[in-house]
Amino acid sequence: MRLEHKVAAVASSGGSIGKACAQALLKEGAKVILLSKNPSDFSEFQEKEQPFLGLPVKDFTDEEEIKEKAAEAVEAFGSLDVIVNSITAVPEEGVWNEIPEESWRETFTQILTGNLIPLKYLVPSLVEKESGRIVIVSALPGRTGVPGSQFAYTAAHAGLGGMVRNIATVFGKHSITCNGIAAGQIEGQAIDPGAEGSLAGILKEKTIGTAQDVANAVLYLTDEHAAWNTGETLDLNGGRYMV
Amino acid sequence: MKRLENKVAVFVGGGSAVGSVALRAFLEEGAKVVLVDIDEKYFERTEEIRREYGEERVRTILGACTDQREMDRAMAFAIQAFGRLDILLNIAGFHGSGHIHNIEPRQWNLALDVTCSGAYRASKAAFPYMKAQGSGHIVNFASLGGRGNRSVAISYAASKAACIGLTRAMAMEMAPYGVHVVSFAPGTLDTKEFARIPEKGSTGFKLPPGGIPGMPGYTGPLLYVGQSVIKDRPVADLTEIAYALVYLSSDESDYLTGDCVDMNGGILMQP
Amino acid sequence: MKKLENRVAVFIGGGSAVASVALKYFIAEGASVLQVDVAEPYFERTRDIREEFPNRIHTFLGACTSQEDMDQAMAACEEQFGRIDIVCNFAGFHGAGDVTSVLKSQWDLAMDVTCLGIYRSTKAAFPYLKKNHYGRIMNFASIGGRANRGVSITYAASKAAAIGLTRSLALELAPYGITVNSMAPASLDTSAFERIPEHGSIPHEPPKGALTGGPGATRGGSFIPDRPLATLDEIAHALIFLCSEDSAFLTGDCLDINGGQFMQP
Repeated sequence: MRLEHKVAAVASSGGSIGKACAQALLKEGAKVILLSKNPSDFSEFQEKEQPFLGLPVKDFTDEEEIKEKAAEAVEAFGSLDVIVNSITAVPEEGVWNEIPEESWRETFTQILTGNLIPLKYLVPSLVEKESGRIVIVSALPGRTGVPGSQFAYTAAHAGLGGMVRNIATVFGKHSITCNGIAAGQIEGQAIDPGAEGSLAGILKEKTIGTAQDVANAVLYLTDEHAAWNTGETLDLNGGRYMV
Repeated sequence: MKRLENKVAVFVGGGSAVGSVALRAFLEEGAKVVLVDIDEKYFERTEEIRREYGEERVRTILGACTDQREMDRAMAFAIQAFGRLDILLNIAGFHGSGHIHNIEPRQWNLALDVTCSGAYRASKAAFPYMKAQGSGHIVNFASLGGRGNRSVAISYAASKAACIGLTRAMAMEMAPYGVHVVSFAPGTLDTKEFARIPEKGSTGFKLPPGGIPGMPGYTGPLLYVGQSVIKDRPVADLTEIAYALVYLSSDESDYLTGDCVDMNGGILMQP
Repeated sequence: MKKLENRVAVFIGGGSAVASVALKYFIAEGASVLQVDVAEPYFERTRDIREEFPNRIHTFLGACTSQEDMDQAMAACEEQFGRIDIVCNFAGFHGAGDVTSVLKSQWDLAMDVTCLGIYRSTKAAFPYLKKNHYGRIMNFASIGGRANRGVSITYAASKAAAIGLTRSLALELAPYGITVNSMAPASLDTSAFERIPEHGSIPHEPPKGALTGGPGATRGGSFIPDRPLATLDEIAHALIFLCSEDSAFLTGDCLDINGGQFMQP
């Protein structure tokens, strides 16, 4: 097993990706804490006897709540080796200059700040161990122009790339790696409704990916052999955007 | 179930240090492998592991990627030996040496012919089989030297960048048939375990004055954008490279195509 | 003919060092400019040239964190100069800290100024640009949002988000003859300007022991001999290109102007 004796925290806004990542990490031997905004995510894990803790989260941008949840997460299995973020938000559809500020601001904050705060309180436990893996799952519009994708959604996902590179650069000295996965359209994962139809890839019978594809990429980037991968954003999009 | 169970892979340039280490990983993960290289002496590096797994799992064939017929023959050999073809790793490369003002045309031509055109010839030879199967993974071994601002030979920078471009073109062409094509661009590799076999026809690459950041003998500035950011890790470990190739060759990466996958300790972070 | 003859530009963050130098070149190329900034001291830097060209340079106090301010700035520009052709977004907030130490207040402010401020000014200018079926929007980003630099996380993420926003707006505005690009320079030679502290800012301490980045690295990273920093004049020339008719077919791009420190593959 690729992650035996490792402890992984998965922070999810509740889509299919977070759940699939938790499953994949468990299958590879990791103990898993799933922090999710969708508590129904936990039921299938809790049916089985396995090293799993589900922590319901109301708001990933709420420092007080996340600080507390992060402490619980780290305490659950004594330490932490892997952090996976799959936190996004569904933007309001509409004309770019007619969407009200409180709406686009919420989208932007839920995505970008929502990814920051859990890391702020989880990363110190990796620093303490002088090792660790961080993976931030973002979306294709952050990597290239996607017609119809809402501006705040696009900007926030692009911002996640900056965050990946910054964490990789600053925390490499603690042997912590940080990588991104910019996913195309993924089954069961909420996307930007305006961009629907602009996201599909070109692969035969696989223009849309599965959460398992993302989870596989997470395993690639978190296993022990990925010690020299850092600062990268993997464009996992079925050939929609190649770079 | 192993990650490459029942998959058949062809490594072109399979006797390289990378090919030799990848061979072990691929065999351990359940694949059958055909090593293709231009000289028997490249195969000597893997004699032990080949004996361990036997001919049912690993075979060798001589062939140069500069010759289409030899590539056709190598792929036919794989089909004959193992009945199918799932994975093609194009590892063969020719470094060449020189800078814009002094590179010999022969060095330049050979680098492009091996590193870029060779990947094309091998892929062309493999494609009919993959197309018929409706699946396949082609991984072109490129380099950070073709991607970032590294002081490499000009033949190397150009041919590796061309190989990355070729990857995207082939990914577009082959996607409708379920064939995935990606390139992989690692930084400097730790090949010290392997005695160097001089490249045929190469005049040898001379390090630029001051050397390569992070490598022994480097005398340039220490704080340097374009240096590994990971503590005590200036170069890549070949086993790490091998497992990246496992991921890129397996069904696990079935939603990935055309991409150039970096692995460089943070030297280049593609925005 | 001059490159910006009769064009009207709005500089958001117009009192920054980079904008103050750019102002000189925009005027020389024939443009009129409305300088928008958050406090009077910023405008002191350009007093001489403003006195020389009182009819072609005006100032306006306003913040890109307020949609109302941006709307009023654009209305004032239209009223005073009769049109708007160009918006340059220079306003930025650096912020401090790494992922574990960053304060949410710093983070929020960086996002609000550096990234979302661009949206507000663009939204405010759009009706005027649309009217002429012409427009140039230039967003001032940074290598810190693009490559492995030891900058603060507020800076890295907000600049990267600004580059993403640029691409999004480029797509939205392309049908109206408006191009939107960003520019990502490395360190700039601002030695001619006395620093005005950022309102609300905690200075960024480069991470201790970071292997790359930070001011130390900046000075060694360029590949152009004896040229660790960009001059503000060079930046201004690039700005002129991005804001002139010459760049009509360029949109959504991020121009890396960094002495070869980072080469986008």
